Amino acid sequence: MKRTPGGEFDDFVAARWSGLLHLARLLTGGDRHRAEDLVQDSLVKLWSVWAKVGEEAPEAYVRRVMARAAAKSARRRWWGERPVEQLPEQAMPGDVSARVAERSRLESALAQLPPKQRAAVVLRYYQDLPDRQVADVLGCPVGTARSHASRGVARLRQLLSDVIEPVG
Amino acid sequence: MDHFEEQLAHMMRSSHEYTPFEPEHRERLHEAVRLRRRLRAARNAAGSVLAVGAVTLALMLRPDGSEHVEPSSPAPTPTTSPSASVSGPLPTSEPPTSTDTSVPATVDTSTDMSTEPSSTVTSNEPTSTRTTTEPASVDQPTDTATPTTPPPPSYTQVESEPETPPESLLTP
Repeated sequence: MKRTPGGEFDDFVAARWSGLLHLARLLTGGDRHRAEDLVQDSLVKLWSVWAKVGEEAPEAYVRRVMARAAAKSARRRWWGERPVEQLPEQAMPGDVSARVAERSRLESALAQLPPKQRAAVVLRYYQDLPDRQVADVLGCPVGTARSHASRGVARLRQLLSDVIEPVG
Repeated sequence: MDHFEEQLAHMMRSSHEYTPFEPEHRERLHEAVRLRRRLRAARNAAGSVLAVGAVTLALMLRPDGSEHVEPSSPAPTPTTSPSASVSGPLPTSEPPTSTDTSVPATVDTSTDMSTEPSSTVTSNEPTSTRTTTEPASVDQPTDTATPTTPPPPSYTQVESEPETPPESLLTP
């Protein structure tokens, strides 16, 4: 039995919703509402080209749309919480809130990066894409993408130095 | 990839927690899809209306080409002799003469309006006032077109004006 295109689209969205939402959350620096908007806008665009893209690589298409939209977004947003240098309370090892604290720390550090650097870092280290594909997704030269990623990582190295301890 | 980069990648992946695709997400997505579909349809309709309007406007503003039908009307005077140009109103000032005088040379190629009157006249008066500029080639189509129409008044002017234009006028 063959599924209708609308049914296939719904199946794809239901299967990949969580992963796409997490990617969007990293791309937006932890803004949950903006991440949902980003995912939804990208999925609406995917729906309009589903007949062409659906058979091949819909997730790559959504990732490209999301990354470009996030990299272009220059608007400043209200955070509700302001990132600080020292966390007010340290998570204890084994604590349930440790992962939450680590996650919020990562997201607040990502939020301090410029959008293009953040997108390059997320694509490079979360999506594990090589520099060439990062450049392809962002629509820029390879050298530019590499520069964005290296600058972003250098900035994160400063921001997360107490969370990620250097070896040796 | 150094230690920090490995840890960074690990943090990014481990912070992923499963979020189900809930009915409210589905409804919101479907509503956005419907809105986009409506917007696209409206945009297509507006584009079609604009295209039709532009084509209509272009057709209305298109210049009328009736003035450019005459092939021999522009600038015939420089080729004539000085005496002919002095004589005045002959070549260009009177459009009917210029059109009708071009009849003999262009009978075969020009419009039917010029051929039919000439043919009827030649059938009625074969010898009386015909000038020598009426070629034999004009008479040949007369056999086919003679029994039809009476001569229009425009041609009578031509007969009353037997002044033949220069030869250069006859051949555009």
